[in-house]
Amino acid sequence: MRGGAGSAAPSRPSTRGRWQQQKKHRGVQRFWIEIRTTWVGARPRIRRTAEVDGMNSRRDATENDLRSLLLQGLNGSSPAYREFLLKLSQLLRAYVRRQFDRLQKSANDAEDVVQEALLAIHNRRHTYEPDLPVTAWAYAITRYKLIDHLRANNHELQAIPLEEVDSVIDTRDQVEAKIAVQSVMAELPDTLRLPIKLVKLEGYSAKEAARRTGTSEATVRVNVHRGLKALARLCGVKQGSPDEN
Amino acid sequence: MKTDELIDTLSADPQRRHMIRPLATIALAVFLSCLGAFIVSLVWLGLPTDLAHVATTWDHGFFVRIAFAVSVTCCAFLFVHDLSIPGRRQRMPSLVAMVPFVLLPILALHELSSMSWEEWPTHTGHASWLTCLWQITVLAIPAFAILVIAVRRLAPTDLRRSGFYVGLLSGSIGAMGYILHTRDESIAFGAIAYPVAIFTIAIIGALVGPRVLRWS
Repeated sequence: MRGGAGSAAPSRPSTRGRWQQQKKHRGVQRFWIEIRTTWVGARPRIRRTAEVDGMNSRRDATENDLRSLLLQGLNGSSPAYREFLLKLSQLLRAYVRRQFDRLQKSANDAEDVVQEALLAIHNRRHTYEPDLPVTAWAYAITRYKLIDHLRANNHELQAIPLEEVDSVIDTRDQVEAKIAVQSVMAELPDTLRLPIKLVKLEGYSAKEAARRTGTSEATVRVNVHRGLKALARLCGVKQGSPDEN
Repeated sequence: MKTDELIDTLSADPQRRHMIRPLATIALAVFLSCLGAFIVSLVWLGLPTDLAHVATTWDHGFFVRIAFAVSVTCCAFLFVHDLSIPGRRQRMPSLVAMVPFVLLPILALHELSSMSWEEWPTHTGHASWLTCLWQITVLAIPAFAILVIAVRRLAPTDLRRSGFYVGLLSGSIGAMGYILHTRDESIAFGAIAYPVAIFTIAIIGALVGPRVLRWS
């Protein structure tokens, strides 16, 4: 074994490069790891350094602490069990937040997931066997609950009824156009505004508009024409008709 | 609700309610499903008349086939147990579960090599294929139901893989029930028909696993 901190620094750029190379083949790699770990039974090799040893001893301390608290709790000690859940909830909160972070989701629901996980751990505490690492057991349940939560939320997004989606779609441009047209139209005299409103905006035929306004069809057509010209003048268009329909 | 309040509520009764260990739960389920498959086989298909004959003449074909089914059951049992407990590593690589499926064809080839080419078709194809397949499947259904109920009481976290092994386990139990009833079938026939039936059930298990094994 080479010494930890001394050799780690110069080798860092090369490992990072290798990792990025491997990133391209991550799907293949993941498949290969799956085959090796579950089908052939190989364990990942981690090079022992001072850093890794330190991490291991810290993890072992947490692990032993949690294990003794849980075992006391399962034997009926309520305060020990409470202490266990408190310590565990801190670990799980950090884990869930990290996962939300990694998935680039807001951590608003993190506390919900932690609570669901704690409840599941409590309800399934009969599956804990003393030879099992407590943290591995608890994290596995939390991961299950986290995936459940993410999946349920995706379903919620998909299950929003269409009317609600309607308001989500960006309609700002249309609304702005409508407001602009209304403000310009307000400056027209009634005799011109009504025919334009009926024929161009509401889509009535000239005949129908004539019947509604109590004038002749020809008058409606003339007034629409005049109205459009007046609008163009108001909008500052020199010639031709602006497309108000 | 605040998390602290939840913890206070939960820590009010810390003792485990189910005193049965996970291993015992699954062992009981396997025992019950074996019993179920045996009873269904007995009532529905009837036991072979020559079981005594098998015992006296030491018909090794029967023993090879039943040993195959039992070994698949044992492997699948261990995998289902490991998968039903969160965070437990598989105690042996998944390839081990495939060993019986490799050994049986080897024994079948050994059996076939002792006879001439002309005898092969009659030797592998004398029994009705479809009957074998669907009888094993029907015998596996009660086993599957019992095992699903047992596994749901535990906490599987990889539902698809758990479903696969539950299917494998119930399929092999179904095959056991079928082998008890069937008469003078060659190893060669079994080497093809039993794995097909068992893997069909295992794949169905993997497909329905995420739905039926979900716990909350």
